[in-house]
Parts: sequence; structure tokens; C-alpha cells
Amino acid sequence: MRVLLNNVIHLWQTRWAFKLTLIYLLGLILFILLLPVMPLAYTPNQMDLQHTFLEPFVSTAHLFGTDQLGRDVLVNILYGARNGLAIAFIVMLLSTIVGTTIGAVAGYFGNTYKISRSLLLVIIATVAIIAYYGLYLPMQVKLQDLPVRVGYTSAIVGVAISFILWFAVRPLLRRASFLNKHVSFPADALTLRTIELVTSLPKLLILISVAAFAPPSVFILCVIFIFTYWTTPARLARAEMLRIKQLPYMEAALSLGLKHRQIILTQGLPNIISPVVVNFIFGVGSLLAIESTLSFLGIGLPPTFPSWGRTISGIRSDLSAWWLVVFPGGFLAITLLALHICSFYLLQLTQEKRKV
Amino acid sequence: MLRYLFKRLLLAIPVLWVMVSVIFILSRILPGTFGEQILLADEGFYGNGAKQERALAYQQLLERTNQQLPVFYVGLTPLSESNTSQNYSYLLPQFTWHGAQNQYHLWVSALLTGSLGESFASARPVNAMIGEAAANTFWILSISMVLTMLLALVLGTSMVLGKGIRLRRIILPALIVLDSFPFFVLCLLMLLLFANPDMLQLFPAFGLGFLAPGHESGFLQTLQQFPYFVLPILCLVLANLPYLTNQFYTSLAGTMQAEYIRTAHAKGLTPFQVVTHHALRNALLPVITILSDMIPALVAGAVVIEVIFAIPGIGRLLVTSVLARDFPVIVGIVVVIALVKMLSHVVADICYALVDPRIKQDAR
Repeated sequence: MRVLLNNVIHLWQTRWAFKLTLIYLLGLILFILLLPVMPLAYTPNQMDLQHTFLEPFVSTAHLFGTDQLGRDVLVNILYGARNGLAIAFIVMLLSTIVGTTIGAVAGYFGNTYKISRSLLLVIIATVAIIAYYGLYLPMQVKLQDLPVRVGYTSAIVGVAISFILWFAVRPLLRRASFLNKHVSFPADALTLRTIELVTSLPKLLILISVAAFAPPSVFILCVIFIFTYWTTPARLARAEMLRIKQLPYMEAALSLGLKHRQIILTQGLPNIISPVVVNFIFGVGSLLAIESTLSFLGIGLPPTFPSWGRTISGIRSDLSAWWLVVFPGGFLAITLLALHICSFYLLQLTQEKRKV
Repeated sequence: MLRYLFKRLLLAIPVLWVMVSVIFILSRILPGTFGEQILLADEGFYGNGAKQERALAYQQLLERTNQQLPVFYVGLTPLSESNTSQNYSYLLPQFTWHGAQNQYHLWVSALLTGSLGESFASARPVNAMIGEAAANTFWILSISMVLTMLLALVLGTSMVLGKGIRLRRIILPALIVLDSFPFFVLCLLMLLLFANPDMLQLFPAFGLGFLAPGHESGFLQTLQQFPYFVLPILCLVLANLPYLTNQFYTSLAGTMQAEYIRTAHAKGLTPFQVVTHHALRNALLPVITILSDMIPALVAGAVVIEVIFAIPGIGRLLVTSVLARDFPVIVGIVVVIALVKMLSHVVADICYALVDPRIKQDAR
């Protein structure tokens, strides 16, 4: 982690382009955080039907012009930046956490981790119970408009059964000699197969088709994003973990008597983090692009959700309204460029270090 | 080699099968069925009919599209008012066996005979709809892919040759800037620049012109449609160029460090000959993988480009059927693209073996 920070400081001091992009990104984030207290004349969904397709720089009320419903372009750009970056950042953060955890564990244990049959049985049973009581029943309650009491009861019952399983049934199962045998758990193979499964179809195709089946909502879209984006950090973390597992300090940590969990957290993670961070920055950019593409196509996001893509899609009803593309599109391109440059320099530095 | 290919195919099929099945089942179990809007009161086209008539129409639609059948062989009994208000029987999962009369079984047995089902919206076979749309998409994608490859090859080669350093300083940053334009913004900017009466009106903006089938020969028709294809192809080339050029360049630059390149230089070959005769073949190896991995990017490109330029192709069909919630068409397109992707991987394997004889040896 400290290496990474040193890298950033080093780049900040030596590369002016990196400095510029970092200043831009930090400024953008600060701007977004200050958005609620800023004195803006309009809200992003406020319509001014007297002035539709107003050209930019002619009216002081709408500096960047208005779109087909008279919504102010400038305000929409600002709110679009906030929404886009918030979605991209949160989704990428969650998928990086999920992916890195899975990848690091898979890389560390490989296919040889020994697990007793009783534990395996209990884990599988718990997953099934949580799926039924924690996911299926609450979803049914929501879909069929049943009383909330039913949902609570099922959640409580689910937790209670899992507790009984772990603290009463598992010690009992241990007594049976058959269930006490250890089998190797194929963590690595399982992870690889799952990644292969998810990546067997193009990302945009999965996104579009699943977003089509569900009603448009930001939450569902985020879930699908995470489902398709965790694979890259998982693959990177696994590869890095496989590499550093051979190094002497890991062996030293093991011989010191540290637990596996401690080794992964304190020795492993800090040393596999830099490619993951580079991927994080890159992924935020790609998510920004995909989010605005989806909202441009009108798929997956509700039409009341201010986004760069929504503003740009106004061009489809009037081809001469160039300001609807140039301003948000330019903003989008500059932000993506900044993110690309950032990740490019970091990647270059880590690759140089590896060669030495 | 054949055995190796066969093994790859056998491994790829189950993965695809699971993924496509998941997409199919998701399309059916997620809330919101096709035709639901019929039931909406006092709204839309069906608003005039009585409530009973609407319910009847909805029921008929469900029966025609098989949507009233259970989704899978095994199902959980859904919760209802009766078994939640009185007792706690819902806490025990109840599985029911539906037998062969379920949507998944019907879909799979149709798929195995080569049929992708019928569209909900137009009641036409999905095969025919995809078949009509595929030709346009195929031509645009393959022409732009060939052009991109050639351009990337030229750019990559010229960057490693003699005075390449100066060229590199200009091209690489330019490519990074080009790469940071999202694809749909790039298309719209091209549209604004080259198909706009206010700027330059060089190309027609939308569609493929007026078609009069059977009126002209195929060649004339193609010629007539040519201007409509220029902008989409240009956009696709520009969008894929940065990535591909970068890959070519990195791969070539890596190969140029090798010992046998120095030998070739020492033999007195010109730098151009060194690149074309010795470096290129080895540098092409990683690019094959990249090309077969480019299919997803191309699919994404096809969706955006066909929507923006109003070209009747697969991507536009996908978007319109998504907006109409026409599930059989969506799932059909997913199946077709999955097949294309699998085939492209097999072709990539064959190309590998052709370019690099060592792989053929290993595979035996």
C-alpha cells in the first residue's frame, strides 16, 4: 500500500500530465460533493417548455442551452457527472472487493485446500437455507404484496436454522468418522470455471438482455454491473497471488505460525494490490462509458435519472442541436481521458519495477 | 490437431449451455411478462375494452406464447394469501415436479431442431428475423474489421521502422485521446460533422436508402447503398483502431528485441525486409487471440452503430426487442452471438496452428 502511495507521489513530481489529470479528477470530485449546496437555478428534471432546444450562449438563464423538454444542459451535465461517477465508483469498488477476495483466496489455496466433509456439508446447507429464507421468500413477499410480517418471520427462521446448523449439528456431525475425513476443496478450479462462465458472453449483451427482463432501476443495473465486472479483478488477484505465493516471505510468514487469513490479509493483499488499483481506475472509466451508453439507448435506467447519456440522446429528435452532444460528450471524453492517463502511468511504473 | 479442437469444443459447449439457459430462465422468472400492458386499466390502446375482455385477451396471449406454463422442470410453490395468513406452512419449501410441459423443455427441444421460437410481438419465427438482420451487420463488421487490421498493421509497422520514434510521439498520444471518446459519442460527432447541413453534408445520415427488391441486381443495389455504409464503417474503424494498433505495436516492439532480428540485420537485409520476413509472423501470434476476443467489442459497436445510423441489423433488432420486451428474440440473439463467439475461438485455434508449427506439434 505504501509502495502505491510512493508511486503516486513519484509520478506527481515527475510527470506533468499525471499531475494535471489528478488535479482535474480531484477538482471534479470536490465539485460533485459540493453540488447540493451550490446555487443552481434549476433541478435536472425541471422542464422549461417555453424554451426547448435553446441554443447555448444566447440566454443567460440557460448558459449551455436546453434539450428537447427544456431541461437545462449545464445542470444536467453536473448532475450527470455526479450520478455517473457515483455509480461507476461504487460498482467498481464493490466488484473489486468481491473479485480481489475471491481471486486472492483461489490463488492462495489453489486446488489443494483440505476441508472436512462435515464442514463442506454444513456450508452447502447454509447457502441453500440463506437462498431460500433470505432471498426467495422476501422476493415473493415483495412481488405478491404479502404482509411484511411474513418476510420478517422467514428471515428470523433462516438465521435460526443456520445457527442451529453451525453450533448444534456441526459438532454432532464431527463425531461420525465418515464425515470427519478431509477432502480437497477445488477453490481455484471452481473460480476459474465461474469466471469462464460469466465471460462466455459479451458484457454489453448480458447487460442489455438482463436489464431488459427486469424493470428499469438503478439498483438492479448496479447488481448486474457487479456481476459482470468482478471477473477482471479476480483474475488479476489470482495471477498475482500465484506469483507471490512462491516468494520466500510468504513461506517465512507461514513458518512464523501465522494463520492463513492473516497471511492473506497482511502479507498477500498489500503485495497484489497495484494491478488491482490500475484495473480499478480503468474500470471506473469503462463503467462511465457503459452507463452513458445504456442511458443513451434508453435501456436499464429510469428516464427520470439524470445522466450524460440521457442528455446526449436528445440529439435523436433534432440533429441540429449540436450542443446536446458536444458539451456532455466532451465532458465524458475528458473524464475518460484523465482516467486513462492515470491508469496508464501507474501501469507503466509497475511494469518498470517488475523488470528491475 | 483435430482431437485438440474437438476437446476444446466439448469443453466450450457446456459453459455456453449453462449461460444461455441462465439467460433464458432469467427472462422468464423476472417480474414483468410480455403483454402485461393489456391489463392496465384506462391506459393505452386497449383502454376501451371492458375489464373482462382485457383479461381474456391477456389469457389468450399467454396461451399463444406458452407463458402460462411453468418455467422449469422443478419449481417451488409460490406463496399466496391462503398459506401465509393462517399457518406457517410456507416456511417449508415445497417442490413440485412439472414434467415435460414447461417453457424450458419446449424451448430446448425447439432449439435442438434449430428453431429459436416465435417472436411475441410479431409472431414471426425468430430465425427469419435474425437471418434478415444478420447480413447488414455481418458486412459492416467484417469490412470494418479488415480495414482496422490493415491500418493497425501499417501503423504498428511504421512505428518500429527506422524513423518510427518521431512518428510514435504523435501517434500514441493521438490514439489515447481517440480511445477516450466513448463509441456513441464518437459516432454522433461524426454524424454532426459529416452528415449535417450546417457543417458538411458528405454522407447520408440514416438508414440504407429506399430498397426496391427484385428491381435491380445485387451489385447495383450494393453500389447504391455504399454511401450509407461509409460513416458507420469509419466510426467502427476509428473506435477499434487504438486498441489494435497498440497491441500490434507492443507485440512487434517485443519481437524486435529478439536475437534473430539482430542476425537478420547483420545479414544485410533492409529494415523493411526484416520486419516483413522475420518479425511480423512471430508478432502476429498474440494478435490472433486479441482478434478473437474483439467479438464482444464488435457486438457492442454493432448495437450502438445500428441504433445511431438506423441500419436494420442485429444490434437494432436487439434494442427494439428489448424495448418491446420481446424475450424470444433477445434470447435468440444471445444464442446466435454465443455460437459466433465459440466459432471464432475455434477459428483462432486453427489460425494459431497455421502460424506457429510448434503448437501443432504439442497438440498431437
